[in-house]
Amino acid sequence: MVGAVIQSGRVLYMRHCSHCHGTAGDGNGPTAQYLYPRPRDYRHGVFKFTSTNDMSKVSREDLLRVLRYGIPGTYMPSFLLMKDEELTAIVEYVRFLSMRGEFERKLVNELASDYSEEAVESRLKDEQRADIVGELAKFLAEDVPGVVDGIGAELEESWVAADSDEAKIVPSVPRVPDSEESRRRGRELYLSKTLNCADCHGIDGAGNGPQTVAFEKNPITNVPYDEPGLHDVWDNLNQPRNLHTGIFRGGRRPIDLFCRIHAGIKGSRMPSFKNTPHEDIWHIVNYVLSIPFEPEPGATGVASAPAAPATEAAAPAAGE
Amino acid sequence: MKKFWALFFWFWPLVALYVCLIAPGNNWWFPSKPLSTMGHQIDGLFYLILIIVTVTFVGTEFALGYALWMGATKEPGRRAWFSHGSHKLEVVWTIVPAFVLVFISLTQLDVLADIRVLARFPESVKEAPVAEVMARQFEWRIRYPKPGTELMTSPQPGDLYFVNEVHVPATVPTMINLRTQDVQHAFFVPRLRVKQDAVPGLIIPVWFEIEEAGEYELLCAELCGWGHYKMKARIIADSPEGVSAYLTRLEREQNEDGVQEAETASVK
Repeated sequence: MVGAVIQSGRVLYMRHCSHCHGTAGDGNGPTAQYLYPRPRDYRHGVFKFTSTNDMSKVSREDLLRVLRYGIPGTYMPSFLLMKDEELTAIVEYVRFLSMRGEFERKLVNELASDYSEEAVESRLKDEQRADIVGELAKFLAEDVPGVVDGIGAELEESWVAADSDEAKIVPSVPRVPDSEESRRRGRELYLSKTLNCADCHGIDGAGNGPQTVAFEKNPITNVPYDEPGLHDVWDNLNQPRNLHTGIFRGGRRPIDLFCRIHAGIKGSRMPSFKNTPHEDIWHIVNYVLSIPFEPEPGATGVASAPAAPATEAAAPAAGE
Repeated sequence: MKKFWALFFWFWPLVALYVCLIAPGNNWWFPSKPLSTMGHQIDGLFYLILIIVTVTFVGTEFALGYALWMGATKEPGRRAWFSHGSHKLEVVWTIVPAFVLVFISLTQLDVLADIRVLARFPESVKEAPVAEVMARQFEWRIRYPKPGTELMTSPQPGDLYFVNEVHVPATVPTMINLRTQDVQHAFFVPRLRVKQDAVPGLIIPVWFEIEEAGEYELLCAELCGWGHYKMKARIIADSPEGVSAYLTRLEREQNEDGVQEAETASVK
């Protein structure tokens, strides 16, 4: 039966997920208010940790991975012990909730520009209410079916594309073997003007760059946020990761970190660095993986730093 | 009606005995026979206490019934005998239970020491925990040392991580380090009869020797928050070779760079 998997997914979702993620997937279930970070609101159709390109949606595989292994450092637990068909059903239901939320948001946006309370109020200054009502009736009857189909087609295309091979990030070169040289190169890139990782993550990777104390504006409403720091599309304060904790929310495999840098973290202010040469991304991955084990913050030297040769000379001596 | 109460109190110990007898056949008893070496001794202690308690319960109930029966059938005019304030009786019912309790506490000392005291752990495991099991709300996060190295208390480069699944060798003594990241949890493996609280700030060594390879349920046995019921994992007991093969596989998976797969395929 068509939709049977979504039906069984719904039952499982209600039992295991809805108390945090909400019955509609709005990330506002009864236990959500106790959690930091907040549970994901699916209605933007945006998921942070994906193996797909920066403009692509999340793939089924990515969602399955999150369900299986959880998200360390957050309240999302692992559901490893559930059966594969149960997990698949939940994935389908989460995709359904995301598409539904996205569909409704887009439809509302479509109407909001001309017929929201605010818009109508401003239009009433030089238009008659009856005209607006008539126009709306005409819009609903003639244009909305087309709009609905358009949004549907757009959603279908993007969600189907997310599972295709083209959407998946595949590095063009294998991981550069981890070495001191590679880490140093990664550190240089990390501090470089072009990538500018330190602007958010801080010079030593402690997640305390200058951006974390700047005041941001909400990009949609243009209203400044109350508190300083970076915000995500869900309007939550979402400060850059402290790279010293050794906790990698999106996974600790080199490919996971590669995807985080290549595609960025969707919905957050972590941008995509897809134009960076893949070899350079691997250098940064090697550096980032080594940060938790640095003897002291910022210990990885760079070529231009005067302290670097001394550390380099001291390290092999200690090893021997 | 007076006799009813005597019969009533004689009836319940009989029911209790009957239930005890039919329980194992109806699967109301332990989840399985103990499957770790310590499990047999722990079950032994459990049965010892069960027998003492059953004898006490049945004896007390019958004595109660007897007193009621004598009261119910007494001839009119016979005066009651008051035992209140009898020094001899007080001494007897203080000393007898005291002996029983001292007996139990001395009997279990050895088993308790074998489970809890690091100095009495088998030599082969004392210095070599196979994994760190970190409880957190609401899952179990596992950290294995990089194959060929020892487990350190703090994470090391090359450590292997997994969640909700612990692979340990069967038929040899095995030790894990139990920790918690947030609140109190408890490491409970019913079929192994292993139960140990995880306490914030402590690294608690837990050892067991699993007798049969297979899958064992690991539960949290300390109410740790609203998601306590979710905190379920599995322990997979395998041959030592199986475990090292698993760790090799885990190491390969954890070092995936997304292109290796295509490469190895073309090599083949």
